[in-house]
Amino acid sequence: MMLLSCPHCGPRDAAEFAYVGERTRRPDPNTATARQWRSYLYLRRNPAGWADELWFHRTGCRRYLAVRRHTVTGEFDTVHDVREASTGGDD
Amino acid sequence: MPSRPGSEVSLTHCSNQIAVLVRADQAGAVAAALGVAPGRAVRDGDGTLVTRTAPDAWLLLAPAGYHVESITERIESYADGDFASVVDVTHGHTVVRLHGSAAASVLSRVCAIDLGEAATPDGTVFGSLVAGISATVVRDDVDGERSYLVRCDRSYGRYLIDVLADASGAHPADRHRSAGKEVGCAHHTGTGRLDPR
Ligand SMILES: [Zn+2]
Repeated sequence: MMLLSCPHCGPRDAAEFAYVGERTRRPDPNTATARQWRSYLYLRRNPAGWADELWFHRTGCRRYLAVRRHTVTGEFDTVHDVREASTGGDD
Repeated sequence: MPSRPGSEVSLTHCSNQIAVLVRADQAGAVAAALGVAPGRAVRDGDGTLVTRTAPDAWLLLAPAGYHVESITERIESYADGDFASVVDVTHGHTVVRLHGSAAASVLSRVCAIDLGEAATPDGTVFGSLVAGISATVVRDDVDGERSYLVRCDRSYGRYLIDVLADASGAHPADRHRSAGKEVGCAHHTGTGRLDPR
C-alpha cells in the first residue's frame, strides 16, 4: 500500500486518489506556437526519478494536489494543495 | 434474539435528513460566518449539523422536514458579496446512523481510518473509502454513546446498508427481507433483526 499524506486529510491510502498526470504548464493559447502546443498536449518527461505530478483526492477533500514523487521508489516528497503550490510543472 | 451486552450496535436508515452542500471560498465571508474548522462538525441551535468536509466545502445535515430555503437565506445573509453555491442534495444520497458501543469496531471492518479517540474524536468529519466506496463519515455521539453518520451517493446506498449490516452481524435472511425498503428507517440491534421502522 502506498501512503500519500494529504495536506487536508492526513495520511491516506493512495487508492483514495486519482493520478491525473505530470504537472505541465499550459502555454498562452494566443501566443503559443504549434510546436509548443503539441508539446503541451502530448509530450511528457516520464522520468525514472523525481517527478512533479498532479493528484486528485477523490474520496476525501476533493482537492487537486501538487505532488513530488519518485517514480522508481514510489516515495512521496512534497504534497501541496495546488492553490498553495506556487511553483512546479515543467514547461 | 437477545443481543450481547457491551457489544451493541444499531443501524438506522436516515436518508430523510435534509442535506445541503455549500461551496465557497475558504478565506471568504461565508467560511468565516459558518465558523467550522476543516474536518470538524458542529451542531447549531436548531439541530442542523454543520460539517466542513474540505477547506472550501460544507455539508449541512438538517432534521427531516427542515426548510432548505432557510439554509439558502442564511448563507445569502453571510455572503456579503462573496460567491457561494448552495445545493440541496437530499435526494441524491443515502445516510445511515451506526450507533452503539460497538459502532467503531463495526465501522473499522470496512474503513481504514483511525477511529480512536485521539485521531477522530466526537465532532470529526472525514471523507474516505468505506467498503470501497466514497463516503463521508461524521462522528456524532448521542448522549455520550459512540455514533457515526455515514453518507454516500444514493446509487450505492443499498450496498452500504447491506455491508454495514453484514459487518454488524445482522442475520442475512432478515436483512434481505427488508432490503426492498428504500426510504424511511430500518433498524437492527447487534445480533438481532433489521426491522422497517
Ligand atoms: Zn484530502
